[in-house]
Amino acid sequence: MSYSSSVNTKDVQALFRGFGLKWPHARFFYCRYANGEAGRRLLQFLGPLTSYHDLSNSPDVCVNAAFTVGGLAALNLDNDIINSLPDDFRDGMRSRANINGDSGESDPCQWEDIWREDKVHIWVGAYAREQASLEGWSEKLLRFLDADSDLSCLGSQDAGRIVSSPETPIYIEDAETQPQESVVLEHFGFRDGVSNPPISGLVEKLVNGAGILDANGNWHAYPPGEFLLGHIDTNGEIPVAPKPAAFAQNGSFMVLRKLDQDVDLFREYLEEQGAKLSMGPDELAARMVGRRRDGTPLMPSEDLNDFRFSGDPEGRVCPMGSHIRRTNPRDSFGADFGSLLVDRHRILRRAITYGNIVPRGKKQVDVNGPSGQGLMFIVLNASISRQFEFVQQQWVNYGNEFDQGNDADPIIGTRTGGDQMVIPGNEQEGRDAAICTELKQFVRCRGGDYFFLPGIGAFEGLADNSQGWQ
Amino acid sequence: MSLIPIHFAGKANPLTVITPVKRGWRRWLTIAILFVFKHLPLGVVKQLAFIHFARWILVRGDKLPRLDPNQPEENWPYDLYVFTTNFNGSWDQYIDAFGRIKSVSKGLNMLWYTSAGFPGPWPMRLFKRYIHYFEQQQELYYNAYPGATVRDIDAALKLSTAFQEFLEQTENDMDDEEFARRHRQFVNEIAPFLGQSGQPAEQTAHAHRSLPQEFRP
Repeated sequence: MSYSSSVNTKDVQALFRGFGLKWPHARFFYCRYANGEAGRRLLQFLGPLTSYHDLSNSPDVCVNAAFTVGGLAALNLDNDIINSLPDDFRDGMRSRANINGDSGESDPCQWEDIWREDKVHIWVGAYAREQASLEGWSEKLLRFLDADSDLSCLGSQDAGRIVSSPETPIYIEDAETQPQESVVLEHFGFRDGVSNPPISGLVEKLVNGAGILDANGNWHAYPPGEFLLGHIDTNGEIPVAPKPAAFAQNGSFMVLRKLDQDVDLFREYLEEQGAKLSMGPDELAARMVGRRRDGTPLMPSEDLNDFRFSGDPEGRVCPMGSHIRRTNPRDSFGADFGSLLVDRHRILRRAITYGNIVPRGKKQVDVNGPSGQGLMFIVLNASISRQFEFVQQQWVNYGNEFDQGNDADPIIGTRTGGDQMVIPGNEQEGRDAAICTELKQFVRCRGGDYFFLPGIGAFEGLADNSQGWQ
Repeated sequence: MSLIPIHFAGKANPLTVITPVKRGWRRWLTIAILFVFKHLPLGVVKQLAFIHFARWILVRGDKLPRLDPNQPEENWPYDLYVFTTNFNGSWDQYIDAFGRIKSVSKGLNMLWYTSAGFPGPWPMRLFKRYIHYFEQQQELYYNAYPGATVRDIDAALKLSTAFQEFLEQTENDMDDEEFARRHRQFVNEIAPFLGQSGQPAEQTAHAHRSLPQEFRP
């Protein structure tokens, strides 16, 4: 199983590379244009976008852009293009709420204002190394938008990675679990961005562990078509994509979700359940996630990623219901299959946190005020329904494939009342079975939408209409 | 992919595919293939155990069932090859599993070999289109355990067996320590089967099944 592939990295947006990990400052702008002409003026101002290739020249600010279906329609594109867009994207995230489990506290009617209607046309994501260069660029953009009565900025969102350090303790009781190195964290105090699928010709890191596992136990990088339109995918086919081909080439579908994380609630819950199960809150958290705070997997492994689940079919080492096992089950469905039944449902995660780190012993409201803290969850995939929505619906909010019945993901699952997670015991470790009950809604969706992230060439074609797509 | 709301109560989905088989040598080959699959312990068939319930039946085109003696006899140039199955989860995933597991896809290639126009299990897009084209709309469906999947039932049976054993073992008088030891051992053994099943009102995760985009109505 090997795929030869060549991707023109000058035509791929820089977001594919994932800088949340490296660059500390980011700001997202959600903009709207009154008509196609105004839209094209904005695109011309934004272009040329930063490409994957440009990153090697270390630009000060890196600019990405993606469109909602409303944004593409407002550019007055040809009906044939609009009609060739897939259903999931055209529906938008709000109307797919019952698939994604966005109910209760994540119900769309509770979302932030701008996401409750189809207002946003374009997402502009600017990432910078220095706060000053980000401010400079933002000011330029806002001045441009202000000067044009047909353009408006509906809102913006600051984001930026948070990094662990010994001065800001994020453990609950066990100081040993504090990550020793300086690693990128998410707000519940776990190392973030540990595992992402390697893509042949683009990112060939982490092949051992994050890639495709064949039945002989060998790892391979993913063919680019799983994440990038216009290329061969794991089935050896070019994925279904909008037409014409040049419009979709090197583009991708992007899911943006603002996920609010209730750090106080999570810590409180862990303390309470940890005491009940006589397990210790940090240990319990690790069992729920499947990794320890510094990223070390519960499964024995040489490094952070090179492990398999098939040797643990009952989840006695790493619980079947744990977060990492649900979102990337690897060979959980049997060593004979390798990752065959998982490959079509992987997502490229490009998330970045917002809000400041909440140190141990502090209340989140004292640190971040009412704006809170959480994750700007960004997913890139070739098919939203086959990849993101499938993971969300079948793996995160349902447990059948993991023999967990209706039980949902303990961290990000939608709570329906009486939620539990089973942590089977392990004789060798001398650990008894435990069931954490009354799981709470630790993570709430506050809004977001489905976007189309065009290739650099396609973005230019949209901006100057040189391809006759109008 | 468009998502089709399931109009049946329960976690299981039916799939019935009726494909035409040209009469002549194909009929006899089909019967031979079905015989092989039924009676010979081939490795391929064992792998098919991954698919919980699947049946292939050949209905002869010159012996079509009649509901009434007055119904005229028909003689079709085709035999009807009926495939019927039940699955948990999404349509796309189920068909994907067919095509992606090599030994299964080899078996399927053999089973549908005689069906008119069968493109083979690869490319997957054509295979899916074929299955979808001949898929029959289901009007009626009976589900004895609407709140349980095959895995739920499997887990419940394992739990029930272990529980009976535990009851028998602890029937006689024993000291508290011994009982505690056995109880712990029992709980540790059955912990993997303790996921909650049934059909909670709020659970929407299995209320839709997805159909690939190119098949949208």
